[in-house]
Amino acid sequence: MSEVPTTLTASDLCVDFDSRTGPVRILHHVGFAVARGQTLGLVGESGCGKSMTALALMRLIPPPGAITQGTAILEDDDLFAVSEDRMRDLRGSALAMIFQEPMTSLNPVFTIGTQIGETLREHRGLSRNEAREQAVELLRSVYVPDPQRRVNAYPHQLSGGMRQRVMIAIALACNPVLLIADEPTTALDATVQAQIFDLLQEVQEQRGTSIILVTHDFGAVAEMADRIIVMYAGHNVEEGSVEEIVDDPRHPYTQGLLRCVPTVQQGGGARAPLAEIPGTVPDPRRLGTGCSFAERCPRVLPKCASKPPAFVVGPGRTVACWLVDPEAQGVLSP
Amino acid sequence: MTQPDLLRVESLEVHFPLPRPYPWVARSTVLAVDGVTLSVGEGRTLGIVGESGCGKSTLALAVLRLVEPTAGRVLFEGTDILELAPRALRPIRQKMQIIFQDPYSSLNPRSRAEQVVREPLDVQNAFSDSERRDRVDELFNLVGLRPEQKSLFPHQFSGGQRQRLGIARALALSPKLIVCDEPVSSLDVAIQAQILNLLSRLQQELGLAYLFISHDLAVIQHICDDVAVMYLGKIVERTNRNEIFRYPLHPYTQALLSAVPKREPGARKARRKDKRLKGEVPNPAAPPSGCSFHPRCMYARDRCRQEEPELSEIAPGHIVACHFATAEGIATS
Repeated sequence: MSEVPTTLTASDLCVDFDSRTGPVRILHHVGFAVARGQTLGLVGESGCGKSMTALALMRLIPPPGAITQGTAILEDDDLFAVSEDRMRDLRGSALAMIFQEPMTSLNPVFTIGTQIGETLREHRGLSRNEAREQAVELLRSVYVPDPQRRVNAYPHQLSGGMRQRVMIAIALACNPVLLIADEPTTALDATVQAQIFDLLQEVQEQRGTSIILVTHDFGAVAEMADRIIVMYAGHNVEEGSVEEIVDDPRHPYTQGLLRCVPTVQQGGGARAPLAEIPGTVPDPRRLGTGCSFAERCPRVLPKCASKPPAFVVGPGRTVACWLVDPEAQGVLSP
Repeated sequence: MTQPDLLRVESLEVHFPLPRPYPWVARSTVLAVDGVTLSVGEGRTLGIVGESGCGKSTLALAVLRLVEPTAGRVLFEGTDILELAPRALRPIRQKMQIIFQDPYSSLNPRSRAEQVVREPLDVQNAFSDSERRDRVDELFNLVGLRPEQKSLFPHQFSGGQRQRLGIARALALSPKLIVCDEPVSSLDVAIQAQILNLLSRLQQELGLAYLFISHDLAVIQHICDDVAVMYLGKIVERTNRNEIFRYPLHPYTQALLSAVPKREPGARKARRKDKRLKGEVPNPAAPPSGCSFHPRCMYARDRCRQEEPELSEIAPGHIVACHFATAEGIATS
């Protein structure tokens, strides 16, 4: 880990939303690092704050939300401290984002060539014709068939998979060091998802791009990510390498998430009821002072009425759960 | 297998004519469902799996005659429901119900939860007023909703609870068959497990049969007894659950299986990418010649481009539509 240089270090990130009853905290002191050429997976249910984390890095949190605390060091810039002008320069050139729904994130009234070119003209000052030539090259690099013709197509003329390729082409236009992919394949079929993941991996191998992959699909992160952060109710509840999280989950939430999703087993496998996580994600307005997972947790303790710190259980491996408290080892060992 | 099937679909076709862009252009037709034959036994689950646009949802609707099929037969307990007049169809509708994908748009936002569940009873004029009220209580209990939630509106429920409401509505008239059209794909991962377990439990308790539509092979494997794989309006492979996951014979089924993330760290990097399915589902208004899968098939040969393969039984109970499929795999010479 240590010999790979770090692309992004975020620490102590808090996001609050203003409401009539005062600020509501959506992200609670989230921190992580992404190494160069590696993929960090953010996993959790909807409403756990994973997309909010991604938007915070782009400084695109919609009002009345705001980043109230924390730093995010990307190369030499603190993304949360730089001016809005500087941030505008960085977005698209140093860090770029791919969204879940490629139809709603592309502008329906411009050709895809124009939209890819916009990034190039804005950041690299290319002329209209140069930008167009580059756009064709970019489309070719993301394996859009017949790029000369497709550069003039409008988004509605493309399939979902092709639109997501166009989004990736836009994101890659200025060769960013960090690519944030927010559920990039959720709206796509499994076969197309596999193609998009192949593409992201190829991009990473060729350009050394760091990727933050936001998803609820444990299968996808297990295959794509080098490191995983599991989020719950705006907290980072468990962090570790992909092998550690998938093969040896320590937080009851991670264990529940891994168990409740059916996986394809060769030959069919046994047919037992799925393990359930009862209930739903808590309303962020009604989070108490204790562990936010306590009310759904199968192994809740009296101690869980106070918030567990992130216990370090190995190099780069943290678990925010009283069950791994070293002082209580032996009594409560999982 | 000796008892007659609850539902039998024979050579079902649903063709949608497209509007002509110009009067002098020939009309083209989308073959959404093109000659599908299948059957569902009492208390069993048949899964239909395929990519979006393969016609699986149209098939679900056509089986219930919510979309009018253009040809074929749909036999429910031996009666061809396509020949029935609307009035004669109504009593049969009690026995076949549907659960939709999106629990947001399939519930009337102005109806209270109680009314949503009660409506089928009112429409069919089943039971007296007090019996209907008791039935609603019973249904709420059955799907795991609390009685005090009866007076709430759909928007006051979470996605999983709304899907429970949709299930309660489908169960109101004690059906024998429920068509489940992607019932968990719009739900959160942890909620999916809750709903899948509920569906399994209801099947055991009430002896329901499911026609279960999904694009998710893991869900299909979890819940189905038999599986049919659809591609471009046709069934390309059909067999039981163990067989299809152990010996997938059609190249399309193999490709679908290989595209599912394996949840093994590093598995992706080790995997051979030439196994990957190329391209996307072709336009169903202009399907390819011969075998409709040939443009994406890694085994495609001249014969596949010219001649459409018939479904044939390659192994006992294992039906495949591929010229070169054998029980040992795809014949390569």
